[in-house]
Amino acid sequence: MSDSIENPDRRLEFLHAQQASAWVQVLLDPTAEQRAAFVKWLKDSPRNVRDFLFMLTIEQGLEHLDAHRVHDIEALLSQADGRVVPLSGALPRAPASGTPTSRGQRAFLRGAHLRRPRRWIAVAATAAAAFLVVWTFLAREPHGWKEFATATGEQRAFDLEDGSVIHLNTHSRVALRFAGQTREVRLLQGEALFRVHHDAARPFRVYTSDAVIQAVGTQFDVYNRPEGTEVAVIEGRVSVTPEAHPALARFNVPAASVHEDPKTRSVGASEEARIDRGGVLSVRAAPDVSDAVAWRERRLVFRQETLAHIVAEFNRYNARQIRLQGADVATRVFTGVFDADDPDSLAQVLARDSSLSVSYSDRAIVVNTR
Amino acid sequence: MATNNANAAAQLAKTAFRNHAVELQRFLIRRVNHAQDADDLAQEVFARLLRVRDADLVRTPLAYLLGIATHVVREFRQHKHHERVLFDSDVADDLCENADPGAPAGIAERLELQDRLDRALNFLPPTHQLVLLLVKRDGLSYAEAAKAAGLSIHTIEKYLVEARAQLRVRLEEC
Repeated sequence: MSDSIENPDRRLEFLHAQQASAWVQVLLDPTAEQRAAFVKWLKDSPRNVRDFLFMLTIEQGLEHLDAHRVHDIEALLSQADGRVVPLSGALPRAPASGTPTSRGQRAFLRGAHLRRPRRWIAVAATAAAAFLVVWTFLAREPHGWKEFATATGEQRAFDLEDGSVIHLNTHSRVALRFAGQTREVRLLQGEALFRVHHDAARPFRVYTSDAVIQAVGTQFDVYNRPEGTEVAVIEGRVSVTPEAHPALARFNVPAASVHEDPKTRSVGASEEARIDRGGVLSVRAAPDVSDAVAWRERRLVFRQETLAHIVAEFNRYNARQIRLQGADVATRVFTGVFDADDPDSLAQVLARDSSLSVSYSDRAIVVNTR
Repeated sequence: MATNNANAAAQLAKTAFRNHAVELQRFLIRRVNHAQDADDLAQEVFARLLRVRDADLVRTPLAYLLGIATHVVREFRQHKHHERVLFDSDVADDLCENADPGAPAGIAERLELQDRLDRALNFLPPTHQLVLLLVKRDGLSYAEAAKAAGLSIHTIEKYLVEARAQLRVRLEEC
């Protein structure tokens, strides 16, 4: 903040912003007098209207502040106590060119669940298990590929050198290589949300074992599942080509242009493409496309999904696995929104079903028919 | 203010903003760095606010403000659509929006704003980061946050006000 105080323009801007911010605070629970004073202030100047509207937008955005939980409350407490000067470098993102430190990693999850102290033990166990899995950063420099990965339960954002951002979901791995003409990404495992910085001269291509997804500048989610690849487009347009190329494991990218392939389909915002292991591509409208990126807020959203699918999703995030036993358990269909870190919440819902029995142990939750 | 009542009111305000002002949000988030457009919006909203009777306005100021602002944004967009196209990035954005009626309601903008707020957060002093995280991320009440941070409730509110203002100023470069 120091430079904004030294610069008179910034200082003035800050004072205006502070006034607007104070009104946001007051309007959370205003008295009649305060409402009247607010109206008077609004009618003072268009600038007040503008500042207030922007401040509301910020207040709204703060609802999902630090969704990746990279900030550690305890570290901040000790910093605040010691009156340490700010900007001590708690970077939430690993720059693609640098080497992320494990200290930054450890900040993740700690102090993350003050809201639900009763879940501390489960969360601590999950976190401990997650950190046993060594977070790998294998810069495959000989081939120009860089690799990024997340452990179970971990989510992380990476700023790339071209201005794009990759959000990596739990237990996922990407490798990327940027050259003069192309930006190539391999989704080796799991799921990633790509926000592609616009560069018409350098198409951005994501390869999975089933498909190639090409974008110029857009936002889309790619999930490499055992039964195929799912692509959800949030903004803009991508082209999707089924292409089970064997080179994936060898870090070779075919030279052929994606656009020349007759099987290529264009997929727009609020659409989802699925490419199964047999290379069959289908596109459907996805008005609920926000579900596909709910994981960024650590929510799991299911609409009429089988229990087998729901459990598989939970198990991606948690060391404590849910197991299904009994005849028809896996094919039952459920709808619900859950906290990804809380398999117990699903177990509780299932326990209410009188035809199911749920048993707990340290390592697993077992669901069976009665 | 750190009461359940305040929390309920805050929840209401949040819900109102989220549900009724998607277009407004998109507009504002896109204009964080385009002061001119935001000024045009503010001028028009201001002019219309002046025409509303104070008695009505005072009863539900937020609802009036958001309602008017949302209408103005809608009119801006329709108006722009019929104007001669100048190829600046805003017009291109608006054309994209208009060409793509199926675009999800503001998700892309929201995610981008969240990223930028996360980046801006790093520029705040640790005390302000702490208070924001305790209240916004971890969902503590002001009383709980005050206890956790060893501060008074009054200071918690003060830091929240300052933190938002600092984020606003920082957002332009994040």
